[in-house]
Amino acid sequence: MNDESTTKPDYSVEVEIHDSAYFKVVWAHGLRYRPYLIDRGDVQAVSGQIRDQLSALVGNALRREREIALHNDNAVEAANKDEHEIMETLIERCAELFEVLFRCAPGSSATQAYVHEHIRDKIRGERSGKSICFLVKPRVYVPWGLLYDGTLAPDADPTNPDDYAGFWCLKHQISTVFDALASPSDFVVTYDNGVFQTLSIGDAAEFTKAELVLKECLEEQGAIDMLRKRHGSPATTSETLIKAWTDCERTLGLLYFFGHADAKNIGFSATDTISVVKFKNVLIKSGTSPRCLVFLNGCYTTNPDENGTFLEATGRDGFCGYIGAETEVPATFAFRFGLAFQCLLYRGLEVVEIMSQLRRKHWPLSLVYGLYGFPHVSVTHHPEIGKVALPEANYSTGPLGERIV
Amino acid sequence: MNQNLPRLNRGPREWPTQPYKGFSSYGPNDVPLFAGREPQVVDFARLVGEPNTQLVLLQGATGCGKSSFLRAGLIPFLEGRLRGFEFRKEKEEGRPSKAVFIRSTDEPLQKLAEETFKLACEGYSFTSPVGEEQVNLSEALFNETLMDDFTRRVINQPSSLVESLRIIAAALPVILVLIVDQGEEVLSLSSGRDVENRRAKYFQFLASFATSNFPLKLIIALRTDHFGVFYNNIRRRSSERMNIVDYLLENLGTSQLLEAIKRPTERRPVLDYPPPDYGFEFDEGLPERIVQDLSKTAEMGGLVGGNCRYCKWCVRRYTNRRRSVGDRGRLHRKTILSLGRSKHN
Repeated sequence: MNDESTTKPDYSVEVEIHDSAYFKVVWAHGLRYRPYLIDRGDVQAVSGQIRDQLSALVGNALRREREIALHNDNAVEAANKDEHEIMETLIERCAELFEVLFRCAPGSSATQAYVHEHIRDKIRGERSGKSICFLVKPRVYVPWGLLYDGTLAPDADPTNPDDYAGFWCLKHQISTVFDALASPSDFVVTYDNGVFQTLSIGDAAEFTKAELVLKECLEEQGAIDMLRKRHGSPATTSETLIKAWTDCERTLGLLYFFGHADAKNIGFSATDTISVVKFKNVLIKSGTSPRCLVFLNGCYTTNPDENGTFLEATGRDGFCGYIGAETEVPATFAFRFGLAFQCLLYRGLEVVEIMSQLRRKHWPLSLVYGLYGFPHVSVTHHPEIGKVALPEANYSTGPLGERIV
Repeated sequence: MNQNLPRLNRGPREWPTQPYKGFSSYGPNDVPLFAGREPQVVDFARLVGEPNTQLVLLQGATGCGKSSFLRAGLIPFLEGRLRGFEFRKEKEEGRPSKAVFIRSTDEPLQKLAEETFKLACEGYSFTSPVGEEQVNLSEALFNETLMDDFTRRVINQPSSLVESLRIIAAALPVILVLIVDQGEEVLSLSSGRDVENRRAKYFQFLASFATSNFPLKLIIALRTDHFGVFYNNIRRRSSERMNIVDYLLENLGTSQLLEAIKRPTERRPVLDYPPPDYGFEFDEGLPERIVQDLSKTAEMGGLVGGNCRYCKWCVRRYTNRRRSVGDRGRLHRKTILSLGRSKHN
C-alpha cells in the first residue's frame, strides 16, 4: 500500500458497514490513516433529519412563491422568516453530522485525539477547494456534501451562500462514490466533445410544462435547441429509452433523466416506470464503451432503501455514478438546473466544479442536489455549446413550478 | 479508455527472465506474462470486492491455474491503484513478500487459527500521513499468549475465530484478504483421529463467518470435484442468509491459450510494462498449431493437470530448444516435433 501518492482527490474517506452498530471509517491523504468506528444509528438518524429540513426548505419556497403571486406580503414575510429558521435547523443537523463523522466509537483503532488532531483539524487547516471523496459501500446513504463545520451567524442571510461558508460543499469539492473496485485514480475522466453523447430521457409532460414556462427566456430556449440539435429529443417512454440506449451506449457519456422519481424508480408517466432493478438489468454498458454519468433529476433519487438504490445501480462497470436529489424538487427549478448543468459540461469544467458553481449561484435550493459520482469527469471545451449564455438569475427565486413527485 | 485492464502497483517494470513458466505457477513477478485471464480477473475481483461478500470459493480443475490466477492476477489487481485491499503476506528480512497461501491440510481450522495468532501477535505496521504506525491486534487473542492455547480455544469454539477476525478487520486501514489453498484437503485427506469432528468444526466456522459481514475476506481455492460436498457442508449449518459466493475458473480456451503463448512476443507495451524483449518470435501459424495439438491431446484425455499447465511446459521446451540450436529467433514446427512428448501426458 505504499504505492499510494497524492493525486486527485486530495482526501478520500472509505465508509462501510462494520456491523449492525457501526460504520468503519478510513481516511486517506495519499496514505491511509488509522481507521475508526462511528455510530451507524447516529449517522442515519441525522441524515434523515437533514433530508427533512431540505424538504421543509423546498416546501417553504413553494409556499412563498404562491403568496408572491397572490401579492400577500405578510405571508411572504412569514415565509422569509421561516426560511431563516429552516436554514438554522438545517445547519444544526449538518453540524451534527460533522460531529458524528469524527466521533470515535469504542473499539476503534484510532483514538479520539488522533482523529481530531490528525484528520479533522488537518482538513480544517486546508485551504478551500480540496477534492474530498467519500468512497461508500452498500447501504451507506448519507448526504456527505452537507457536512457543516462551524457555527452560523445569527444574522445569516438565507439568500447569501457566503453566510453559510461552513458547508463543506461550498468550501471544498465534495463527492461520494459507490464502486467496490473504483480507485481514486479512476476518477479523472475526460471525454472528447466530438464523441461525447448525452441521452435525455423522462416524462414528456414535464418537459413540455417546463419548456412552456421558459418560452420567453431566449437564452434557455437557445440552449435547449442547441442540445436537442446535437443529441436529439428526449426518450419519453421506457421502450424508447431501451432502444435509444442500445443505439448509443457505446458513445454515451451522460444519461440525463427529468421526471417523476423516488428512491427506487424513475417515471416516464404514471404507469410507465423503471425500477432500480430494471435499470441495472437493462442499461448495461459494453466492455469497451466509456463510463457514463447519470443525472437523475427527479425527487428523492438519493434517498435510502435497504434493498438498494440508484447509488448501487450507477456504481458498477460502465458507469461513474450519478447526481440526484435528497428530497423533492420543484419542476421548473429542476429543469433549469439540469439544463445549466448540461451546458456547463461543454465549457470543459469538471462535474464537481459545475456542481459547486451551480450550488452557489442557485442558492439555497441547490442544496437538494448531491454528487454521488466521479468528481473529476469532464468534457473537452466545445466552442459552440461552451459559449451558450445562461441566465444570470438565481433559479431559487423562481419560477419554481410544482413538485415533480 | 479501457476500465477493465488490471493496473499494477508502482515499481520497476521488468519482465521475468524466462518467457514461460514450465510447471511452476505464475507469481507476483510474472504479472505481464499472465495473459488470457484479464476478464476473469476483473470478474472475480468484483465478486471478492463486493461489500456483501465474506467468503469466496474459487473452484477449478486440477492444474487449471488457480494459484497463478490468484498470485499474478487477482492479488496485483486488488492491491493496485489504491483499491484498499491487502493480502496477508509472508515476511522476508522484515518486509512483506509474497502472499500467504494457508495450506488447508485436513486441519484447516487449526491452520487458520495459527495464522490469525501470528498476525495478531505481529500487529500491523504501515505508513500513514502521521508517520510510521503500529496497530496492536492483541485484543483479537482474547488474552491467550500461546498459539496452542489460542488454537485450542478456536477449535472448541469456532465462532471465536470469527470474532478475532472481526476485531482485526476493525483495526486495519485496509481490507485484509486471507487465502486457504487446496481447500478440498479437508475432505480428501483423512489422516488422524477424530476426522469427522474436525471437519464439522471447520464448517461451523465457515458457516459462522459467511453469515457475518465485516470488511475482511476469506478465499478458499479448491478442486471442482469436491466443490458440491464442500459447499453443502457450509450451507446446511445455517439457515441464515450467507455472504458466500463461488467462482468457477475454467481451463483456458483457444483464444486465451493463444494469447498466453504469444504474450512474450508482443511488440506493444503490456499493461504498464514496455514491450518484451525475449529475442524470439514464432513462425507464422505456429502458436495456432500448438494450441490445436494441445486441444487434440486434451480431447483424447491425454493431458493430466489442465491444458494451461501443459501448454506452459511445452512452449517453454520449444523456446529452450530454440536457444540451444541458435535458430536466429524464429521457432519452426520441425523444432517442436523434435521435442517428443511430455512425460505428463
